[in-house]
Amino acid sequence: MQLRQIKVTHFRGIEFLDWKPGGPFCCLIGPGDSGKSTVLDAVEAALSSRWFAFTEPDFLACDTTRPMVIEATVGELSKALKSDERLGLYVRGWTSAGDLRDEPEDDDEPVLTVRLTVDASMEPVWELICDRVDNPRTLSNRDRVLFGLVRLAGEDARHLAWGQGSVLSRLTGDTNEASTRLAQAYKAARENAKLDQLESLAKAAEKAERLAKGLGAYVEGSYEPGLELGRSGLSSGSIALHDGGVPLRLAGLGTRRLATLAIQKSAISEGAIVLVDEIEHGLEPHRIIGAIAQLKADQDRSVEAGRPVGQVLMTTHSDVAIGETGPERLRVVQMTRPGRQVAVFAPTAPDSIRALMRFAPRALFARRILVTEGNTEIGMLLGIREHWPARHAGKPIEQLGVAIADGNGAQAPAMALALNELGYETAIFRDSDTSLSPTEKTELAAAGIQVFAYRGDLNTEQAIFSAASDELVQELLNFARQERGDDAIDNNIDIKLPDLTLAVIRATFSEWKLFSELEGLQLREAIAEVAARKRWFKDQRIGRGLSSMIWRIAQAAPESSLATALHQAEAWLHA
Amino acid sequence: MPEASDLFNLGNAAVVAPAGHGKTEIIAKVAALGQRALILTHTHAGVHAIRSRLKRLGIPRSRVAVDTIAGWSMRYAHAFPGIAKPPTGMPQGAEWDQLYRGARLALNVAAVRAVVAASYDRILIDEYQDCGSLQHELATELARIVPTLIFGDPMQGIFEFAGATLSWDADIHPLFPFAGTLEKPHRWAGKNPELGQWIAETREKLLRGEPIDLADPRITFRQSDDAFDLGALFEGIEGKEGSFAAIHCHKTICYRLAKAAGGGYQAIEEVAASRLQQFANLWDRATDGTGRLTAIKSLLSDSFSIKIPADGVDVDPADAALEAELREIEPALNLGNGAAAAARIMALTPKHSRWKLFRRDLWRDAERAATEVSAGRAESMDKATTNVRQRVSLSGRKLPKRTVSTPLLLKGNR
Repeated sequence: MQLRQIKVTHFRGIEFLDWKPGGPFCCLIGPGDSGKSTVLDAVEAALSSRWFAFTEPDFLACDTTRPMVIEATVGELSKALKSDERLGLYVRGWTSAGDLRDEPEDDDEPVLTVRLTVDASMEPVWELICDRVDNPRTLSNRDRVLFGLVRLAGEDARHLAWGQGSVLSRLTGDTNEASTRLAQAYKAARENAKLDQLESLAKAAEKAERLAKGLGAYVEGSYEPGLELGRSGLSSGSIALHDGGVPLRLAGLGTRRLATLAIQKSAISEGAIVLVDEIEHGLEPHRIIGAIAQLKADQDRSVEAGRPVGQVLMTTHSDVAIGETGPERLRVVQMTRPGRQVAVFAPTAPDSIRALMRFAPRALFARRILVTEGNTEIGMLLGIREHWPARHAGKPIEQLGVAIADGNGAQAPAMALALNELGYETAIFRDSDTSLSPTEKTELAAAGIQVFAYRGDLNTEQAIFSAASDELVQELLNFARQERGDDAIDNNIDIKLPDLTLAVIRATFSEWKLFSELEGLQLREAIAEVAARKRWFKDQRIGRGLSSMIWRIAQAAPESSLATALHQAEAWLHA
Repeated sequence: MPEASDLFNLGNAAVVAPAGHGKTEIIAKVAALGQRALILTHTHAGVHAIRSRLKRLGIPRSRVAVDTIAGWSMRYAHAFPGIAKPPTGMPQGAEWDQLYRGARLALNVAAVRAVVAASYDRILIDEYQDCGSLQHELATELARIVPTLIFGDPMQGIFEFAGATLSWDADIHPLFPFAGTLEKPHRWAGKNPELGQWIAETREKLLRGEPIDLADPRITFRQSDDAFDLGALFEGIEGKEGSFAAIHCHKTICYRLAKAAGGGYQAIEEVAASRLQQFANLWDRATDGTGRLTAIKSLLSDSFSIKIPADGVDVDPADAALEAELREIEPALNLGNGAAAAARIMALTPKHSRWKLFRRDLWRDAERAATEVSAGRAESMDKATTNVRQRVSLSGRKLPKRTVSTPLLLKGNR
């Protein structure tokens, strides 16, 4: 099964959402409180076989005067769903263009639309939408179980025991044998239960172990059924998966989650819809990558074998996770306020996003992103931002959900445009090493993307040096020598300014003008030209090291183009 | 002779199944071999017969769907009305063609084909000789989606007049290759094997174009010049077990024969139930007890054969009491909608020893309809008869032990 479309009205924090996932694997990201988890909640509420006890807070702003409505359209339907004795005669059509029509035509994919409505009575009603019938077909939990929805919630130990209706009991097939043995076992005391001698349970445990390992769960010994007496007394729920004698319930969060996911997923043969909130929860980076890679590989294998693929819908705050999912699977959730309309964007130009994911994946979790053009600038801005909070009630830009991203040089405009399409507020900070092409200018202007650059077409080196006092030029030179070596810097300058001897160059900058034909401003231009050409500062770390000097330069020369550009960036970032 | 397991492994195929040769049994058995089969037939009686066979063989209902071709087409055409454009309500006349055409068109849609493919792993069509060309087209399309076995007997066509004129060699076998003929007359095994043998032989003869030999010693031939010679109906059946059918080609003569036989033979009702409908119309038009009594009396005279007591014979006191009771009820036909009184009258009349009911189904249906109206479950007799007919068509009817009817009605009706 695959979710083709979900419409949400008045549910939790969302007033309205209309989203077509458009693929078997979607990784939802977006700034905090944009509604990512609520989207998963909505899918679960509509398609899960669980009964939900709805309360006032499930309505937007606790306003129960209007009903909450969730409509989920599902494709890649299983045989059971399509059967005419079940829901087959209610199928609707999903066109190749990705649109829904009530009665299927031509080669439309058969899909089913489930509508969940809850009004002030708090009584949920699940029904199928099909305009062709007069009375909507209501859906029982038995019907909904056919949609094969699995939600990974970390704290749920239910799936690690053989309780009634548990996935493990389904993997086992029949637990009658177990309950008979249990009754005897109770008499013979706990240690004599010998559950591991029950072939069916042992086999299910073995299968669970294989599946869990596949997703990256750590297995200490081996999985086996064991007795764990709970409050409910002795029942099949008292048989729990044990790993080397320890209940799996007590394993690390990550392992527990991966084992649960693997077990749940395996129970649905015809393509489960798997919802994972914050896949990274409890996992080290390499296991995040491992788990995602495994989920992707599972899908690829299903495609190859012509089996139902199912769907993974997950949320994450981990740049490691999105690095592994790749830009095609990214979906960015954005919410407009105060209307709380939620939109989900898919990258139309994955290549530009790929670059961003390589250079600054974290920026994708921000609300507003300033794309900078080069390493000097990103280092400089990252350093300078430390000086800003004092002027903005102590708030760093990160608290405002703002990020500064590496635009990888000439890719910056394309990246900014791609981010803008994904719903991020975006601006560019660039110097004028190379000028923007007319097309780029038009596109950026059309998208409303601001470009902060130094007045007078200066590059960063020119902007810095031209505004710096003698003392600060000296500091900059000292810093460059420290980073690049005295000889390298002095030789670069010597070649550029032949009328200065090395001795003079090594002395203080304030004296250079006594020996040179050039004036102070011209000398600064010459140094800036060499610095740029010889790439003294083209390094993020060096740029960041420069930032305290740059800050002082801008402070001392508030009218300079450097100060103006930085001020514009500051104003935008703190807006 | 093909076995169920052999047939199950065939793709599309045709099995020739002479009457009484275990066709229903083999259909049920083949259907049970898969996950979910669809069995299509023509008549509600057929549906009923197959359902009871499945039940007897202990095959779970969920494993086999049984429907008439018309019912199945209605279901699919109304589920996908945009493409199928089914006639509204119950199809009449040429609207049936529209229905089959529509169902056939719906199968052009990929999603509908997917639903059919997901719903059945096998389709079995019974009485294929009764398929018209549009039904054949529908079956052909279904066979492209799901392996389809058809069962029929070119010698048993009863709907030629309604357009069922498919040629087995030219139309059917190219799509459904011949897979064999059922050879054992199971129906008569143990009961009347000689009759089974005779029917099988006669069928062969007819296939070869030879006439039925009435001089065959196994046949009792009794010539009669009078259509209402009741001796023909009763001679020689005294003390014999089993079921008897008297056949005449004309429906109205069958009713008159049943009447003349004074309840000894029952007439069979058509599913169309025009006589019941006629009663309902008359009843609904009546505005008072008198009008209603007229409607009942008219139906009574078409359903009962009334014996006049011979001179000098005393009236049975029970009959006299019954007649008195009926007279007491009569005025109540004026009360309210009168249906309660009608239902009571209809329940009492068959108890009269000299009033012989020969259209039992008709009278019972009328009684049921009157009960519906009096219980407030239907607002008019017309609506009530529709409900009753629907229930009957779903549950089927039991064939009376002694029947006088036409070949068409005996074999099952639309």
